[in-house]
Formats: sequence, structure tokens, C-alpha cells
Amino acid sequence: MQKMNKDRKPSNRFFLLFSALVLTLPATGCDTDQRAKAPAGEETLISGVLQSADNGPVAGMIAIEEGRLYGKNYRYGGKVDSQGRFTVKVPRGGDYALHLYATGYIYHPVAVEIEGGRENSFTFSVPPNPALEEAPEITGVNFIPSERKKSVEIRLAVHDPNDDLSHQILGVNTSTGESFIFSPPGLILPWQKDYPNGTYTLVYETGDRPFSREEWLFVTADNRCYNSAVLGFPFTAEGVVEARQGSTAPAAEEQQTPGAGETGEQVFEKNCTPCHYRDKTEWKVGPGLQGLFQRQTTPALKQPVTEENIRQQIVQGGKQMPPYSHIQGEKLQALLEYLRTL
Amino acid sequence: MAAGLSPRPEKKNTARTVGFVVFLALAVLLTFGAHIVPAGGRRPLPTLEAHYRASVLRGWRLFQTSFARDGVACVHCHLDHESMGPWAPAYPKVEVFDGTPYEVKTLDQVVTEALSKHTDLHLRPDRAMIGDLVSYISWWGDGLEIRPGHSRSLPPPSSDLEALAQAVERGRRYFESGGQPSCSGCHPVEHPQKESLGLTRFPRYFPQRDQVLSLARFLTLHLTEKEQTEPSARLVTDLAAYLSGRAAGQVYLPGSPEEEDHAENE
Repeated sequence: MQKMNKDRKPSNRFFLLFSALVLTLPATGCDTDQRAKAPAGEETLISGVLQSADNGPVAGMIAIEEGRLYGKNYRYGGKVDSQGRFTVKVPRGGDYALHLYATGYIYHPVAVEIEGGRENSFTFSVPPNPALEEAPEITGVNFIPSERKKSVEIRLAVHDPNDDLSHQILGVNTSTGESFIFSPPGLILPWQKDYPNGTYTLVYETGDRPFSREEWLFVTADNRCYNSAVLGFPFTAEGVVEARQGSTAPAAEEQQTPGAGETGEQVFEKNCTPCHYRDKTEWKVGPGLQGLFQRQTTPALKQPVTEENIRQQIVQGGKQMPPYSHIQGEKLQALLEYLRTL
Repeated sequence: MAAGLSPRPEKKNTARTVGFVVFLALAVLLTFGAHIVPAGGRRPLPTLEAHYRASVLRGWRLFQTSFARDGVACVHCHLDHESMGPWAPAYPKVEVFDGTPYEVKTLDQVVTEALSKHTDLHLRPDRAMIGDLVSYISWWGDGLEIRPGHSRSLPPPSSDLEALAQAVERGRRYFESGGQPSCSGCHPVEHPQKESLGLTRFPRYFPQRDQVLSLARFLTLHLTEKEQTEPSARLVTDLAAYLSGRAAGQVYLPGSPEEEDHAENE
């Protein structure tokens, strides 16, 4: 009987070592939330990137509650720059609620546990506001200093077209990294959800530090998650913090081109393939769409096959088909062009 | 002495390489597989049980239909369907909207609150609409791991997980000793690996009731019949939290019909 070759070749050691490494990866903490690792004893930072639905960076502001989401304990905050980046220092690890605001977008609240002594980094995405005309507005900002009291009273005039303001009438000092909630006019009952239109106030204690209006950003939000423009100095139209560089109506543009760069095939893949075959005429959940534009009538509604009819069916839906009114503009056109190729 | 029959060196190396690749694939799958949507994603709609599928499709339609004067539908803010995947397998959990209480809620409750907040329906809850939306949301979680309290990749607040743990404990106490007879009297707590209550498959169709029912809705109906009085929302949530906790780590397969009929479950 031939003896077994007991020589251990280098490849065997590599095999064992590599396998051991793979199996111990979870124990070493292979994070999925992109938190950067910092040595213990370092500052506790909350940082990250804010982006829109098409993954482009979005500027705005962040206000942070310490403790529970909607506990109204706003303490920290900062500016989100034109590259969508933000960094806020907090005193310790624990539970925090992050509120991200961008002009023309739906605001984004996230409750999260923060690890102390390190940088906790996240990426957030906000959708464009599909109902800009329903968003609240800050219609006026006044500063009334009191040298004797070493304070400045800040007054925000706020108006919501639907009278459904939330408690989120907020200011952020981008130099000190603090956020503040403004006091409402009049009494708010404990069970009251809709805050009134009117003038909200904050008495800011300056101490010996000179007060600078340029440091401040303000925002308000309603109970439908629509927020006002993020407003900075000089607190007029010129002070609006634009979400996207070089664009005066970023949300409107994005509504027309959500998922910029998505091909018609990608739109189809994302939205249509659960119910429609592209390479057959058989029914899946809905009819197969092969040769759609070569047919006389649409398979389900029996309407003449025209681009307009197909467009209408996509947007409005059909008998059982959901409406896809959120697919608009160039994205919708790309989808129609793709359907022609089937 | 017999001639040596050992493989030639090049065949040994090939076998070793193949074995290594297989081992590596298994290691990766075991390490991360519970968090990976299986190749092909969710089970295709046509393969689902018919009543559940119909509920999913109605829910899909509702999700993309506006019930608000401003024309906004759920889909306008929740553009990325895939991000909804972890939702259903995470409930019950703490969820709070501006103006709603901080507490553990079922997905049914959260959908109800969302409709109240974002539409002009002024609901006295429309159970059918809520049930269909829950079915739709559940379908996006098909094939994912059940992870109570974890609806995002971000680490949830520890206070949220504490509140959930308290709800689970309350639910466990009721399951083991509440009611006459107790739940465990008819549903003994079995070996953790054996799960006979279909906890991974809610919502699903119950033929005897001719309805697709979420776990919360099933518990409400079941307890009402058993105790001859409608249970409190708190009790239902606590029980759902406990039962969902028992399914933690398993694959979420909503809508799957029961393979073995348990009369007590219907």
C-alpha cells in the first residue's frame, strides 16, 4: 500500500488561514452601516451624506434630538453642505433622532443608536416634495437683542396653507452646532397635533459671545412631512439654501427626471417585471408585453395602441394595474421608448 | 502489493481548488446569507397563493393611489420599493410619527397611523384597505430574515429595543398563563426549531374565515372567540411581539399556506 504523502504544502496552510479569516469576520464586526472606526476616547461625531433619489448630493440642514424621536429635545445640528456632507459633534453615545431638511424635499427623520467615542457615518436619501404648494413657509424673521439680558429673541413668522404645522419650528446655529425648537404662540394642548400659523419665538442666550445672524438656519415642517425652504441669512428669498447647486427649482426638475440616468429598460425592470413578461405575450399577473406596439389594441383594456393611450395607462393605471403617476417626464418617455422595442 | 491508485497530482489540485471554492461559498453564505435576498429576490407573484396574491395586488394599487387632496400617494415618498423589504419582518416594533405615541406597534397600526396622517380619508380604520397594504408591504420582505425591531440597516435606538423586549415579556406571560385556558394550554411551547403556528407566514389566507389575515388581525379574531370579548390593542401587540420573537432568525415567507392543518389555528 502506498504511503500517504504527509508533506504539508504552503497551499494547505493558506487554505486553513483564509478559511479561519472568513469565518471570524462577523466576530470582528463587519459593519454594514459604514461607521468609521476611531480610537476609543475620541469625539463622538454624527456625520454622513444626504442625497436625493437620483443619488445626487443635496444641501440643507440637520437638527438632532437627544433621546427619542419626537421627544422634542432638540439639542444639536448643523449645515448640510453642497456636497451633501454634514458632521455634528454630540457629547456621548446613545439614542438620537436625526432630522434632515432640504429645500423642496420631504424631510427625513431617523432614530438611531450612536456609538460613543467614534465617528458614526450614514447615508440618507430624501425624495422630492411632490406637492410643493402645500409646504409651509417662513414668511418673516426678526431678531430683537437684549444687551441687559445677554440674549436675542428670534421671531419666526410661519404659515402653512393647510393649517397642519407640526412642532418642528426649528433653528440651527451652524457655528456652535446647536439646534433649538421655537415656542408656539399661545397654548398647545397635550393631544394637539396641528400647531397654529403665527409667530414663534426663541430666546437665545448669547452669553459673552457676539451674536451673528449669518450663523443661523431656520426651517419648519408640517404633519405631512413637507418642510419649508431651509432659510439662512439674509432670511429673504436670497437666503434660501438651494438643495441642488445651480438649480432654482430642484424638486420640480427632479420630479421630471427622477432616477436620472435610468434607462427605459431599468425603469421597466424596477416597476413592471413583477407583473409583465417582456419577451412573451403570456399573462404573468398582467399581460405579456412582447410586440405591444405592433398590436391593434391593448391586451387588457382593448384600447387602440397609441403612445398616448399607453402613457395614460401607465400614469393612471388600469383595471387592476396600479397607477404610476410618480413616473414622469424623461423617465416615462424612456420607458415608452423601451416598450416600443419589445 | 497493489499498484498505487492515488490520483495524479494535477487532479488532486483541481479537487482541492473546487473544494476550497465550495467551502468559501458556504462560509460566506452562512455568514451573510440570512441578510441576503435569495437569488431572484422575492417569490414571483404568479407563484403565490391566490388570495394572498390578490391582496398584494390590491395593496400595490392602493400604495400608488392618492387619497389626499394634494395628489400624493405612498409611493411618492417611498420611491424605493426594495427599501421596504425589511419592514414587515421587523414588526411589531417601536414606531412613532409626529404626534403619535411612542410605543411598540404592529404593522397594521403603523399603516393606520400613516393613512390618518397623510391622507384625507379620515378613517375609522378601513380594515380591508389596511390589510391589503400590509399584504403588499409584506411581499417586499419575502425571503428575508425575520429580525424583530430592525427595519433598517441602521442600529435602532436601545430604548426602542428595550420597549420591544418589555412587550415580548408581557406577551410571553400572557401566552403562558393568561386567558382561560392559557394559549400554551392548546399551543404548547415546543422545541424552538419546531414551529407549528405558521409564525413566519403572516399575513396569509385562512380558508375557514375566507380572509387574508395579518398576525395581529388573526389574534384579535381568535382571542375574541376564545375569551368572548375583544382583546385590547395592547394585548394583541404584546402577543404579536412575543410570537414574532419566536420566529426571529427564520426566513419570512408571507402568504404561504399551511401545510398541516391545525384546527386551533383557524
